[in-house]
Amino acid sequence: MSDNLKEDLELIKDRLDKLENKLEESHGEFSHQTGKSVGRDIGILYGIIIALLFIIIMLKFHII
Amino acid sequence: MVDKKEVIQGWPLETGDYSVGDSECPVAVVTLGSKMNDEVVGRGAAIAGPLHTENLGIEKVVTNIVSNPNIRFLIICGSEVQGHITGKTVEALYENGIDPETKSIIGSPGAIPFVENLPIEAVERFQKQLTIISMINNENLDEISAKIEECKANDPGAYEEDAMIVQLNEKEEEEDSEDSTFDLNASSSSAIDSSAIHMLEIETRIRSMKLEINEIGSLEKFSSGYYAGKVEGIVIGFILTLVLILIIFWSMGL
Repeated sequence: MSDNLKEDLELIKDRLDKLENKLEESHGEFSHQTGKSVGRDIGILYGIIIALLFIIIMLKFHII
Repeated sequence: MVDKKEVIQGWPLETGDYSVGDSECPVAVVTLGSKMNDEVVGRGAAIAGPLHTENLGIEKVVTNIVSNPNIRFLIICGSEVQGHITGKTVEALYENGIDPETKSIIGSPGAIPFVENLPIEAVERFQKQLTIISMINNENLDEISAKIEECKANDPGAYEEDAMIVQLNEKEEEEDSEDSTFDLNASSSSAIDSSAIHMLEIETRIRSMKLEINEIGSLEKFSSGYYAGKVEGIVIGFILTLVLILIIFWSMGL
């Protein structure tokens, strides 16, 4: 294997490593964002239920 | 009564995770990724065992089958082995054979389908001697048993040629017996070929492990995002609902 070819291969490997890292980061970030949006939607439903229960309890004890 | 041939002493020749029943029975069963040797042998098969690798495993299967001319049917059942795809590889070996130069199984979907220790004559004999019955991804013992009975009923008798004995480590033994000073190049190239295949297999397995680790990582990220989003959502939902209800009460003059 010639020196030039070796150097080129090393360069390609370095670039592939960088690409691999970026891909992993993007994949992780994408998963995080997806999880967050799903969690937020479900959380809003929980929040509405908790707030309604809160209002009912307040009305029951004539606080409002 | 169909003709049977005497089974050679010490059959099956190759060791493995299999069970042996009546060696004059015409049916051999490969259970791929499923472990049900004794159950299948108990239902009348001559030999039954799993097949996890599409190279060394298939070499052993072929060796044990061509060394018993009484075996005329091979049932492939059980769950397919992910990545190695051994069931489809056996079918490809039966239908297409191997490339005489590279010793790769033609048309195999497996990762490393090389049968470097198997002579082409053994593969041809395997193709001629057998009829393959594909029941891939079927683990139903009743259906397998029914198929075994059907094969037994259609038994054409022993294959006309005698048992073919394949020595899987033949190359290494020959190399050992020859003068090492004159055969350094040949033996080292064979060792490199063999180790390259093993390295390729190791690399594939490492790659699949890395993929699984990445999947676990992304699942972890997803669940942490889900938790953070849920807390955020509860606060938003609670406040919005309170504000909305207070506005409704206020507009109603309560």
